[in-house]
Amino acid sequence: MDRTKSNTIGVHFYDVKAIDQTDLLFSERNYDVNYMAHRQTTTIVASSIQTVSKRAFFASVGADVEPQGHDAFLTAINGGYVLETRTERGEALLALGAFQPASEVQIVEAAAVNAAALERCPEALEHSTAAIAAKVRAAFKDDELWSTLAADCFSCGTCNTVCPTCYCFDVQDTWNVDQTSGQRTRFWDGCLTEDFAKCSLGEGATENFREQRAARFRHRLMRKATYLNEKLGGPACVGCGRCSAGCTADIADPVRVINRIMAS
Amino acid sequence: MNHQCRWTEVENIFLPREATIVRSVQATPTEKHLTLKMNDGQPMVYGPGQIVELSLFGYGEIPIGIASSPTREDAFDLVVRSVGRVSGAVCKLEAGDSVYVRGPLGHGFDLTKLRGQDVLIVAGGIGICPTRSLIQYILDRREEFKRFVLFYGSREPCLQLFAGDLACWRGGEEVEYFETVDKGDPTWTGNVGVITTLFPKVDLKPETRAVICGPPIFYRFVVRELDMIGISRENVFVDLERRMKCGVGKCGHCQINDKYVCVDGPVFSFADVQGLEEAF
Repeated sequence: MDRTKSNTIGVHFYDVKAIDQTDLLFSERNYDVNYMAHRQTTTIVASSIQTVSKRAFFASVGADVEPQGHDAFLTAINGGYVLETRTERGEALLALGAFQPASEVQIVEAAAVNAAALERCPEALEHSTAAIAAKVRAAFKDDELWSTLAADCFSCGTCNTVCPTCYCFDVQDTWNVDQTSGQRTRFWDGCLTEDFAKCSLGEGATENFREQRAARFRHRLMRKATYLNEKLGGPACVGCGRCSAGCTADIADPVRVINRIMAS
Repeated sequence: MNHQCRWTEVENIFLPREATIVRSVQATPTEKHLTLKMNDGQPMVYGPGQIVELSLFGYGEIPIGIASSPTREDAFDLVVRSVGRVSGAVCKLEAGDSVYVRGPLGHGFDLTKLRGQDVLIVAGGIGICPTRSLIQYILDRREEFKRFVLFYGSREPCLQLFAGDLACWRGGEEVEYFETVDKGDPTWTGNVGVITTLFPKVDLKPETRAVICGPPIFYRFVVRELDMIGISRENVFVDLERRMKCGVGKCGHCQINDKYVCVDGPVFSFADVQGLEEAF
Protein backbone atom coordinates (compact mmCIF):
# COMPACT_ATOMS: atom_id res chain seq x y z
CA MET A 1 0.00 0.00 0.00
CA ASP A 2 1.53 3.32 -1.04
CA ARG A 3 1.39 6.21 1.33
CA THR A 4 3.02 9.58 1.14
CA LYS A 5 5.69 9.92 3.77
CA SER A 6 4.88 12.34 6.52
CA ASN A 7 6.58 13.82 9.55
CA THR A 8 4.94 14.56 12.85
CA ILE A 9 7.00 16.93 14.94
CA GLY A 10 6.52 18.05 18.53
CA VAL A 11 4.79 14.99 19.96
CA HIS A 12 4.86 14.92 23.76
CA PHE A 13 6.17 11.72 25.32
CA TYR A 14 2.76 10.72 26.67
CA ASP A 15 1.29 10.91 23.17
CA VAL A 16 4.10 8.67 21.93
CA LYS A 17 2.97 6.20 24.59
CA ALA A 18 -0.57 6.46 23.20
CA ILE A 19 0.70 5.79 19.68
CA ASP A 20 2.59 2.75 21.03
CA GLN A 21 -0.74 1.45 22.28
CA THR A 22 -2.55 1.87 18.97
CA ASP A 23 0.45 0.36 17.16
CA LEU A 24 0.03 -2.75 19.26
CA LEU A 25 -3.76 -2.86 19.07
CA PHE A 26 -3.90 -2.44 15.30
CA SER A 27 -1.17 -5.01 14.64
CA GLU A 28 -2.02 -7.77 17.12
CA ARG A 29 -4.36 -10.62 16.21
CA ASN A 30 -5.57 -9.13 12.92
CA TYR A 31 -3.02 -6.88 11.26
CA ASP A 32 -4.61 -3.65 10.03
CA VAL A 33 -2.67 -2.77 6.88
CA ASN A 34 -4.42 0.58 6.50
CA TYR A 35 -3.35 1.84 9.91
CA MET A 36 0.09 0.29 9.64
CA ALA A 37 0.75 1.74 6.19
CA HIS A 38 0.25 5.21 7.63
CA ARG A 39 2.33 4.34 10.63
CA GLN A 40 5.22 2.95 8.62
CA THR A 41 5.46 6.10 6.54
CA THR A 42 5.23 8.49 9.47
CA THR A 43 8.38 9.80 11.11
CA ILE A 44 7.72 11.00 14.62
CA VAL A 45 9.86 13.58 16.34
CA ALA A 46 8.91 13.78 19.99
CA SER A 47 9.58 16.91 21.96
CA SER A 48 9.97 18.23 25.46
CA ILE A 49 6.88 19.80 27.01
CA GLN A 50 6.96 23.58 27.04
CA THR A 51 3.39 24.40 28.05
CA VAL A 52 1.76 21.91 30.40
CA SER A 53 -2.01 21.44 30.05
CA LYS A 54 -3.97 22.74 33.02
CA ARG A 55 -5.51 19.28 33.43
CA ALA A 56 -2.47 17.10 32.75
CA PHE A 57 -1.49 14.21 35.02
CA PHE A 58 1.01 12.36 32.82
CA ALA A 59 3.57 12.08 35.62
CA SER A 60 1.36 9.89 37.80
CA VAL A 61 -0.10 7.48 35.26
CA GLY A 62 1.76 4.47 33.87
CA ALA A 63 5.05 6.04 34.94
CA ASP A 64 6.95 2.80 34.39
CA VAL A 65 5.88 2.58 30.73
CA GLU A 66 8.58 3.99 28.44
CA PRO A 67 7.61 5.74 25.19
CA GLN A 68 8.84 3.69 22.21
CA GLY A 69 7.51 4.62 18.80
CA HIS A 70 9.41 7.80 17.96
CA ASP A 71 12.34 8.41 15.68
CA ALA A 72 13.93 11.35 17.45
CA PHE A 73 13.42 13.46 20.57
CA LEU A 74 13.79 17.22 20.55
CA THR A 75 14.35 19.06 23.83
CA ALA A 76 14.28 22.86 24.13
CA ILE A 77 17.20 24.13 26.19
CA ASN A 78 18.65 27.59 26.71
CA GLY A 79 19.69 28.94 23.35
CA GLY A 80 18.61 25.99 21.22
CA TYR A 81 17.54 22.37 21.07
CA VAL A 82 19.02 18.98 21.78
CA LEU A 83 18.01 16.37 19.19
CA GLU A 84 18.43 12.76 20.24
CA THR A 85 17.94 10.22 17.50
CA ARG A 86 16.24 6.94 18.24
CA THR A 87 16.10 5.21 14.85
CA GLU A 88 17.77 5.21 11.48
CA ARG A 89 14.99 7.42 10.22
CA GLY A 90 15.68 9.82 13.05
CA GLU A 91 19.36 9.66 12.22
CA ALA A 92 18.57 10.65 8.64
CA LEU A 93 16.97 13.87 9.88
CA LEU A 94 20.38 15.08 11.05
CA ALA A 95 21.39 15.64 7.46
CA LEU A 96 18.53 18.12 7.03
CA GLY A 97 19.76 20.67 9.58
CA ALA A 98 22.91 22.42 10.71
CA PHE A 99 23.34 20.26 13.80
CA GLN A 100 26.42 20.17 15.95
CA PRO A 101 27.28 17.46 18.45
CA ALA A 102 25.67 18.32 21.80
CA SER A 103 27.98 18.97 24.70
CA GLU A 104 27.83 16.99 27.94
CA VAL A 105 26.36 20.06 29.64
CA GLN A 106 23.65 20.42 27.01
CA ILE A 107 22.72 16.73 27.32
CA VAL A 108 22.48 17.04 31.09
CA GLU A 109 20.36 20.18 30.70
CA ALA A 110 18.01 18.40 28.29
CA ALA A 111 17.52 15.57 30.78
CA ALA A 112 16.79 18.11 33.49
CA VAL A 113 14.25 19.93 31.29
CA ASN A 114 12.35 16.68 30.67
CA ALA A 115 12.52 15.66 34.33
CA ALA A 116 11.24 19.08 35.40
CA ALA A 117 8.17 18.75 33.14
CA LEU A 118 7.05 15.82 35.27
CA GLU A 119 6.97 18.11 38.31
CA ARG A 120 4.65 20.57 36.59
CA CYS A 121 1.50 18.39 36.28
CA PRO A 122 -1.40 20.18 37.97
CA GLU A 123 -3.26 16.92 38.65
CA ALA A 124 -2.15 13.54 39.93
CA LEU A 125 -3.45 10.05 40.53
CA GLU A 126 -2.75 8.99 44.05
CA HIS A 127 -2.45 5.22 43.67
CA SER A 128 -0.55 2.62 41.70
CA THR A 129 -1.78 1.33 38.33
CA ALA A 130 -2.44 -2.11 39.84
CA ALA A 131 -4.35 -0.76 42.84
CA ILE A 132 -6.47 1.46 40.59
CA ALA A 133 -7.20 -1.38 38.17
CA ALA A 134 -8.36 -3.67 40.95
CA LYS A 135 -10.57 -1.14 42.73
CA VAL A 136 -12.12 0.38 39.62
CA ARG A 137 -12.96 -3.09 38.31
CA ALA A 138 -14.46 -4.05 41.66
CA ALA A 139 -16.69 -0.95 41.52
CA PHE A 140 -18.39 -2.17 38.35
CA LYS A 141 -21.68 -3.05 39.99
CA ASP A 142 -21.90 0.15 42.04
CA ASP A 143 -24.77 1.52 39.96
CA GLU A 144 -25.30 4.50 42.22
CA LEU A 145 -21.67 5.56 41.81
CA TRP A 146 -21.76 5.43 38.01
CA SER A 147 -25.17 7.09 37.80
CA THR A 148 -23.88 9.92 39.96
CA LEU A 149 -20.66 10.31 37.97
CA ALA A 150 -22.51 10.28 34.64
CA ALA A 151 -25.50 12.36 35.73
CA ASP A 152 -24.44 15.40 33.70
CA CYS A 153 -23.13 13.46 30.67
CA PHE A 154 -24.39 14.77 27.32
CA SER A 155 -23.26 11.58 25.52
CA CYS A 156 -21.43 13.86 23.11
CA GLY A 157 -18.33 11.67 22.87
CA THR A 158 -15.87 14.56 23.22
CA CYS A 159 -13.88 12.54 25.77
CA ASN A 160 -13.49 9.79 23.15
CA THR A 161 -12.72 12.14 20.29
CA VAL A 162 -9.87 13.96 22.02
CA CYS A 163 -8.39 10.87 23.66
CA PRO A 164 -5.09 9.75 22.11
CA THR A 165 -5.71 6.13 23.15
CA CYS A 166 -9.34 5.90 21.98
CA TYR A 167 -9.36 4.08 18.66
CA CYS A 168 -12.88 2.76 18.12
CA PHE A 169 -14.30 3.45 14.69
CA ASP A 170 -17.30 3.09 12.45
CA VAL A 171 -17.30 2.33 8.72
CA GLN A 172 -19.76 4.02 6.40
CA ASP A 173 -20.43 3.75 2.68
CA THR A 174 -21.12 6.90 0.73
CA TRP A 175 -22.33 7.32 -2.84
CA ASN A 176 -20.86 9.64 -5.40
CA VAL A 177 -23.32 11.77 -7.31
CA ASP A 178 -22.97 9.44 -10.32
CA GLN A 179 -24.80 6.77 -8.26
CA THR A 180 -22.47 4.06 -9.51
CA SER A 181 -19.31 4.71 -7.50
CA GLY A 182 -18.53 5.67 -3.95
CA GLN A 183 -16.34 5.19 -0.92
CA ARG A 184 -16.17 2.93 2.09
CA THR A 185 -14.61 5.07 4.79
CA ARG A 186 -13.48 4.58 8.36
CA PHE A 187 -14.73 7.26 10.74
CA TRP A 188 -14.04 7.92 14.40
CA ASP A 189 -16.66 6.57 16.73
CA GLY A 190 -16.95 6.79 20.49
CA CYS A 191 -18.42 4.52 23.14
CA LEU A 192 -20.07 7.43 24.96
CA THR A 193 -22.45 8.07 22.09
CA GLU A 194 -25.94 6.70 22.53
CA ASP A 195 -25.99 4.37 19.52
CA PHE A 196 -22.51 2.85 19.89
CA ALA A 197 -23.71 -0.62 20.99
CA LYS A 198 -27.22 -0.37 19.58
CA CYS A 199 -28.55 -3.04 17.21
CA SER A 200 -31.71 -2.94 15.14
CA LEU A 201 -34.25 -5.69 15.71
CA GLY A 202 -36.61 -4.52 12.98
CA GLU A 203 -39.96 -2.75 12.95
CA GLY A 204 -38.41 0.15 14.85
CA ALA A 205 -37.34 -2.05 17.74
CA THR A 206 -33.74 -1.90 18.98
CA GLU A 207 -31.50 -3.60 21.50
CA ASN A 208 -28.97 -1.27 23.05
CA PHE A 209 -26.35 -3.23 24.94
CA ARG A 210 -25.18 -0.09 26.74
CA GLU A 211 -28.35 1.93 26.93
CA GLN A 212 -27.72 3.96 30.07
CA ARG A 213 -25.33 6.91 30.11
CA ALA A 214 -23.87 5.48 33.31
CA ALA A 215 -23.07 2.20 31.54
CA ARG A 216 -21.30 4.03 28.73
CA PHE A 217 -19.40 6.30 31.13
CA ARG A 218 -18.36 3.24 33.12
CA HIS A 219 -17.24 1.39 29.99
CA ARG A 220 -14.83 4.19 29.10
CA LEU A 221 -13.34 4.25 32.58
CA MET A 222 -12.99 0.47 32.59
CA ARG A 223 -11.23 0.60 29.23
CA LYS A 224 -8.83 3.28 30.44
CA ALA A 225 -8.06 1.87 33.87
CA THR A 226 -8.44 -1.90 33.76
CA TYR A 227 -9.51 -3.87 30.68
CA LEU A 228 -6.45 -3.34 28.50
CA ASN A 229 -3.77 -3.14 31.20
CA GLU A 230 -2.51 -6.69 30.79
CA LYS A 231 -2.27 -6.44 27.02
CA LEU A 232 -0.65 -3.00 27.04
CA GLY A 233 1.58 -3.44 30.06
CA GLY A 234 0.01 -0.37 31.66
CA PRO A 235 -3.20 1.64 31.68
CA ALA A 236 -4.88 2.79 28.46
CA CYS A 237 -4.61 6.39 29.66
CA VAL A 238 -1.50 8.50 29.33
CA GLY A 239 -2.51 11.47 31.47
CA CYS A 240 -2.73 14.11 28.75
CA GLY A 241 -5.78 15.75 30.36
CA ARG A 242 -7.57 16.42 27.06
CA CYS A 243 -10.80 14.68 28.09
CA SER A 244 -10.86 16.70 31.30
CA ALA A 245 -10.37 19.94 29.40
CA GLY A 246 -12.73 19.02 26.56
CA CYS A 247 -15.70 17.68 28.53
CA THR A 248 -18.63 20.09 28.27
CA ALA A 249 -19.95 19.16 31.69
CA ASP A 250 -16.45 18.68 33.15
CA ILE A 251 -17.19 15.18 34.43
CA ALA A 252 -14.74 13.16 32.33
CA ASP A 253 -11.55 13.89 34.31
CA PRO A 254 -10.01 10.45 35.05
CA VAL A 255 -8.12 11.89 38.03
CA ARG A 256 -11.26 13.06 39.78
CA VAL A 257 -13.20 9.90 38.94
CA ILE A 258 -10.43 7.49 39.89
CA ASN A 259 -9.36 9.33 43.04
CA ARG A 260 -13.00 9.38 44.12
CA ILE A 261 -13.37 5.64 43.58
CA MET A 262 -10.08 5.00 45.40
CA ALA A 263 -11.23 7.10 48.34
CA SER A 264 -14.56 5.29 48.65
CA MET B 1 12.33 0.62 14.73
CA ASN B 2 12.04 -0.18 18.34
CA HIS B 3 8.48 -1.43 18.21
CA GLN B 4 6.80 -4.38 19.78
CA CYS B 5 4.46 -4.89 16.83
CA ARG B 6 5.04 -6.97 13.73
CA TRP B 7 5.85 -4.91 10.66
CA THR B 8 4.62 -7.51 8.23
CA GLU B 9 2.60 -6.90 5.13
CA VAL B 10 -0.37 -9.25 4.98
CA GLU B 11 -3.70 -9.23 3.24
CA ASN B 12 -6.13 -6.39 3.91
CA ILE B 13 -8.53 -7.63 6.57
CA PHE B 14 -11.16 -5.17 5.39
CA LEU B 15 -11.20 -6.21 1.75
CA PRO B 16 -14.30 -8.30 0.95
CA ARG B 17 -14.61 -10.97 -1.75
CA GLU B 18 -17.44 -11.14 -4.25
CA ALA B 19 -20.01 -13.93 -3.95
CA THR B 20 -23.01 -14.80 -6.09
CA ILE B 21 -26.41 -15.58 -4.65
CA VAL B 22 -27.17 -19.02 -6.08
CA ARG B 23 -30.46 -19.48 -4.22
CA SER B 24 -32.77 -16.98 -2.57
CA VAL B 25 -35.86 -17.91 -0.55
CA GLN B 26 -38.19 -15.56 1.28
CA ALA B 27 -38.33 -17.68 4.45
CA THR B 28 -40.65 -15.46 6.49
CA PRO B 29 -42.15 -12.02 5.79
CA THR B 30 -38.94 -10.37 7.02
CA GLU B 31 -36.25 -13.01 6.57
CA LYS B 32 -34.47 -14.08 3.44
CA HIS B 33 -32.52 -17.32 3.18
CA LEU B 34 -29.59 -16.87 0.80
CA THR B 35 -27.13 -19.44 -0.51
CA LEU B 36 -23.83 -17.92 -1.61
CA LYS B 37 -20.94 -19.13 -3.70
CA MET B 38 -17.60 -17.34 -3.83
CA ASN B 39 -16.83 -15.96 -7.28
CA ASP B 40 -13.06 -16.44 -7.07
CA GLY B 41 -13.45 -20.22 -6.86
CA GLN B 42 -11.98 -20.28 -3.35
CA PRO B 43 -14.76 -21.77 -1.21
CA MET B 44 -15.39 -20.36 2.26
CA VAL B 45 -13.44 -22.58 4.66
CA TYR B 46 -15.11 -22.30 8.03
CA GLY B 47 -16.28 -24.07 11.14
CA PRO B 48 -19.82 -24.21 12.53
CA GLY B 49 -20.64 -21.05 14.51
CA GLN B 50 -18.32 -18.70 12.64
CA ILE B 51 -19.58 -15.44 11.16
CA VAL B 52 -19.01 -13.40 8.03
CA GLU B 53 -19.33 -9.69 7.32
CA LEU B 54 -21.85 -9.45 4.52
CA SER B 55 -21.63 -6.29 2.49
CA LEU B 56 -23.28 -4.42 -0.25
CA PHE B 57 -21.32 -1.46 -1.57
CA GLY B 58 -23.15 1.78 -1.03
CA TYR B 59 -25.02 0.37 1.95
CA GLY B 60 -22.44 -1.11 4.32
CA GLU B 61 -21.50 -4.27 6.15
CA ILE B 62 -23.35 -6.44 8.65
CA PRO B 63 -22.24 -9.46 10.70
CA ILE B 64 -24.17 -12.66 9.96
CA GLY B 65 -23.65 -16.13 11.39
CA ILE B 66 -23.17 -18.82 8.76
CA ALA B 67 -26.33 -20.94 8.69
CA SER B 68 -25.02 -24.07 7.00
CA SER B 69 -22.42 -26.70 7.75
CA PRO B 70 -19.04 -26.91 5.98
CA THR B 71 -19.86 -30.61 5.49
CA ARG B 72 -22.37 -29.59 2.81
CA GLU B 73 -21.87 -28.15 -0.70
CA ASP B 74 -19.14 -25.63 -1.51
CA ALA B 75 -21.70 -22.87 -1.05
CA PHE B 76 -22.92 -21.54 2.28
CA ASP B 77 -26.16 -20.18 3.69
CA LEU B 78 -26.96 -16.89 5.39
CA VAL B 79 -30.34 -15.80 6.71
CA VAL B 80 -30.83 -12.06 6.70
CA ARG B 81 -33.62 -10.36 8.61
CA SER B 82 -34.60 -7.05 7.09
CA VAL B 83 -34.12 -4.61 9.96
CA GLY B 84 -31.97 -1.77 8.66
CA ARG B 85 -30.22 -0.14 5.74
CA VAL B 86 -27.89 -2.98 4.78
CA SER B 87 -30.16 -5.91 5.63
CA GLY B 88 -33.08 -4.18 3.93
CA ALA B 89 -31.09 -3.80 0.72
CA VAL B 90 -29.75 -7.36 0.88
CA CYS B 91 -33.26 -8.74 1.33
CA LYS B 92 -34.26 -7.23 -2.01
CA LEU B 93 -31.64 -9.28 -3.87
CA GLU B 94 -32.43 -12.42 -5.83
CA ALA B 95 -30.52 -15.39 -7.23
CA GLY B 96 -27.87 -14.24 -9.67
CA ASP B 97 -27.17 -11.00 -7.81
CA SER B 98 -23.83 -10.53 -6.14
CA VAL B 99 -22.83 -9.48 -2.65
CA TYR B 100 -19.48 -9.13 -0.90
CA VAL B 101 -18.24 -11.19 2.01
CA ARG B 102 -15.37 -11.02 4.51
CA GLY B 103 -14.64 -14.09 6.53
CA PRO B 104 -14.95 -16.52 8.07
CA LEU B 105 -14.45 -14.55 11.28
CA GLY B 106 -14.47 -15.33 14.98
CA HIS B 107 -14.44 -18.51 16.99
CA GLY B 108 -17.23 -20.97 16.34
CA PHE B 109 -18.17 -24.11 18.24
CA ASP B 110 -15.29 -26.10 19.70
CA LEU B 111 -16.14 -29.45 18.17
CA THR B 112 -13.51 -31.24 20.26
CA LYS B 113 -15.69 -30.51 23.29
CA LEU B 114 -18.83 -31.85 21.62
CA ARG B 115 -17.59 -34.98 19.82
CA GLY B 116 -18.32 -38.23 21.62
CA GLN B 117 -20.87 -36.51 23.84
CA ASP B 118 -24.62 -36.13 24.20
CA VAL B 119 -25.44 -32.74 22.64
CA LEU B 120 -28.45 -30.51 23.34
CA ILE B 121 -29.02 -27.46 21.15
CA VAL B 122 -31.48 -24.84 22.37
CA ALA B 123 -32.33 -22.26 19.69
CA GLY B 124 -34.75 -19.37 19.91
CA GLY B 125 -36.01 -17.26 17.01
CA ILE B 126 -33.28 -16.30 14.57
CA GLY B 127 -30.85 -18.18 16.88
CA ILE B 128 -31.71 -21.24 14.80
CA CYS B 129 -29.62 -19.78 11.94
CA PRO B 130 -26.09 -19.88 13.38
CA THR B 131 -26.87 -23.11 15.25
CA ARG B 132 -28.05 -24.72 12.00
CA SER B 133 -24.37 -24.83 11.00
CA LEU B 134 -23.81 -27.15 13.95
CA ILE B 135 -27.11 -29.04 13.57
CA GLN B 136 -26.23 -29.94 10.00
CA TYR B 137 -22.68 -30.81 11.00
CA ILE B 138 -23.87 -33.24 13.67
CA LEU B 139 -26.43 -34.79 11.31
CA ASP B 140 -23.77 -35.22 8.62
CA ARG B 141 -21.29 -36.81 11.02
CA ARG B 142 -23.83 -38.42 13.27
CA GLU B 143 -21.50 -41.23 14.36
CA GLU B 144 -19.10 -38.72 15.93
CA PHE B 145 -21.71 -37.64 18.48
CA LYS B 146 -23.88 -39.55 20.93
CA ARG B 147 -27.43 -38.50 21.72
CA PHE B 148 -28.60 -35.38 19.84
CA VAL B 149 -31.52 -33.34 21.16
CA LEU B 150 -32.73 -30.10 19.54
CA PHE B 151 -35.14 -27.54 21.01
CA TYR B 152 -36.45 -24.77 18.77
CA GLY B 153 -38.69 -21.97 19.98
CA SER B 154 -40.41 -19.37 17.80
CA ARG B 155 -42.85 -16.60 18.52
CA GLU B 156 -45.43 -17.85 16.03
CA PRO B 157 -45.70 -20.81 13.61
CA CYS B 158 -45.43 -18.49 10.60
CA LEU B 159 -42.05 -17.25 11.86
CA GLN B 160 -40.43 -20.68 11.87
CA LEU B 161 -37.40 -20.85 9.59
CA PHE B 162 -36.10 -23.73 7.46
CA ALA B 163 -39.45 -25.41 6.78
CA GLY B 164 -37.75 -28.18 4.79
CA ASP B 165 -35.34 -28.97 7.62
CA LEU B 166 -38.12 -28.93 10.20
CA ALA B 167 -40.05 -31.55 8.24
CA CYS B 168 -36.97 -33.81 8.26
CA TRP B 169 -36.16 -33.18 11.91
CA ARG B 170 -39.75 -33.85 13.04
CA GLY B 171 -39.83 -37.29 11.52
CA GLY B 172 -36.16 -38.10 11.72
CA GLU B 173 -34.40 -40.72 13.77
CA GLU B 174 -31.11 -38.81 13.88
CA VAL B 175 -32.27 -36.01 16.15
CA GLU B 176 -34.75 -35.86 19.00
CA TYR B 177 -36.49 -32.67 17.89
CA PHE B 178 -38.87 -30.63 20.06
CA GLU B 179 -40.45 -27.34 19.08
CA THR B 180 -42.65 -24.72 20.63
CA VAL B 181 -44.25 -21.41 19.76
CA ASP B 182 -45.11 -18.57 22.13
CA LYS B 183 -48.44 -18.12 20.38
CA GLY B 184 -50.17 -20.73 18.23
CA ASP B 185 -52.49 -20.33 15.27
CA PRO B 186 -55.47 -22.47 14.12
CA THR B 187 -53.19 -24.84 12.20
CA TRP B 188 -50.72 -25.38 15.04
CA THR B 189 -51.12 -28.62 16.96
CA GLY B 190 -47.74 -28.61 18.69
CA ASN B 191 -46.48 -27.23 21.98
CA VAL B 192 -47.38 -23.67 22.97
CA GLY B 193 -45.27 -21.92 25.57
CA VAL B 194 -41.81 -20.50 26.18
CA ILE B 195 -38.71 -22.56 25.44
CA THR B 196 -38.42 -23.88 28.98
CA THR B 197 -41.72 -25.79 28.57
CA LEU B 198 -39.80 -28.25 26.38
CA PHE B 199 -37.44 -29.40 29.13
CA PRO B 200 -39.94 -31.72 30.91
CA LYS B 201 -40.41 -33.61 27.64
CA VAL B 202 -36.99 -35.21 27.66
CA ASP B 203 -34.70 -36.76 30.23
CA LEU B 204 -31.22 -35.27 29.84
CA LYS B 205 -28.08 -36.48 31.56
CA PRO B 206 -25.86 -34.10 33.56
CA GLU B 207 -22.94 -34.97 31.22
CA THR B 208 -24.80 -33.47 28.25
CA ARG B 209 -23.07 -30.65 26.32
CA ALA B 210 -25.52 -27.78 25.76
CA VAL B 211 -25.49 -25.07 23.10
CA ILE B 212 -27.70 -21.99 23.46
CA CYS B 213 -28.51 -19.29 20.93
CA GLY B 214 -31.45 -16.96 21.15
CA PRO B 215 -32.64 -13.50 22.13
CA PRO B 216 -30.93 -11.83 25.13
CA ILE B 217 -33.70 -12.77 27.59
CA PHE B 218 -33.41 -16.43 26.61
CA TYR B 219 -30.08 -17.29 28.21
CA ARG B 220 -30.82 -16.90 31.88
CA PHE B 221 -33.98 -19.01 31.69
CA VAL B 222 -32.36 -21.78 29.69
CA VAL B 223 -29.27 -21.84 31.93
CA ARG B 224 -31.56 -22.18 34.94
CA GLU B 225 -33.04 -25.33 33.40
CA LEU B 226 -29.58 -26.68 32.58
CA ASP B 227 -28.48 -26.02 36.17
CA MET B 228 -31.41 -28.06 37.43
CA ILE B 229 -30.35 -30.98 35.23
CA GLY B 230 -26.88 -30.64 36.71
CA ILE B 231 -25.07 -29.71 33.49
CA SER B 232 -21.76 -28.08 34.30
CA ARG B 233 -21.49 -24.49 33.08
CA GLU B 234 -18.14 -25.45 31.52
CA ASN B 235 -20.19 -27.64 29.20
CA VAL B 236 -22.67 -24.94 28.22
CA PHE B 237 -21.80 -22.96 25.09
CA VAL B 238 -23.49 -19.71 24.17
CA ASP B 239 -23.52 -18.05 20.76
CA LEU B 240 -23.80 -14.31 21.39
CA GLU B 241 -25.00 -11.42 19.25
CA ARG B 242 -23.60 -7.91 19.34
CA ARG B 243 -22.93 -5.09 16.91
CA MET B 244 -19.88 -6.68 15.31
CA LYS B 245 -19.07 -3.86 12.95
CA CYS B 246 -15.54 -4.70 11.85
CA GLY B 247 -15.45 -8.40 12.74
CA VAL B 248 -11.71 -8.34 13.41
CA GLY B 249 -11.48 -7.07 16.97
CA LYS B 250 -10.68 -3.43 16.28
CA CYS B 251 -13.73 -1.15 16.06
CA GLY B 252 -14.97 -1.66 19.61
CA HIS B 253 -18.72 -1.90 19.04
CA CYS B 254 -19.20 -5.53 20.09
CA GLN B 255 -17.35 -5.41 23.40
CA ILE B 256 -18.72 -7.22 26.43
CA ASN B 257 -16.58 -5.82 29.23
CA ASP B 258 -13.07 -6.60 27.95
CA LYS B 259 -14.08 -9.28 25.42
CA TYR B 260 -14.59 -8.66 21.72
CA VAL B 261 -17.49 -10.88 20.63
CA CYS B 262 -16.26 -10.91 17.02
CA VAL B 263 -12.84 -12.41 17.77
CA ASP B 264 -13.13 -13.92 21.26
CA GLY B 265 -16.54 -15.36 20.27
CA PRO B 266 -19.25 -15.30 19.09
CA VAL B 267 -19.32 -18.73 20.73
CA PHE B 268 -18.19 -18.74 24.35
CA SER B 269 -18.22 -21.28 27.12
CA PHE B 270 -20.85 -20.02 29.55
CA ALA B 271 -18.32 -20.45 32.37
CA ASP B 272 -16.06 -17.92 30.64
CA VAL B 273 -18.66 -15.18 30.25
CA GLN B 274 -21.07 -15.68 33.14
CA GLY B 275 -18.95 -13.37 35.32
CA LEU B 276 -19.01 -10.56 32.77
CA GLU B 277 -21.54 -8.01 33.92
CA GLU B 278 -22.42 -6.91 30.39
CA ALA B 279 -22.92 -10.39 28.92
CA PHE B 280 -26.51 -11.17 29.87
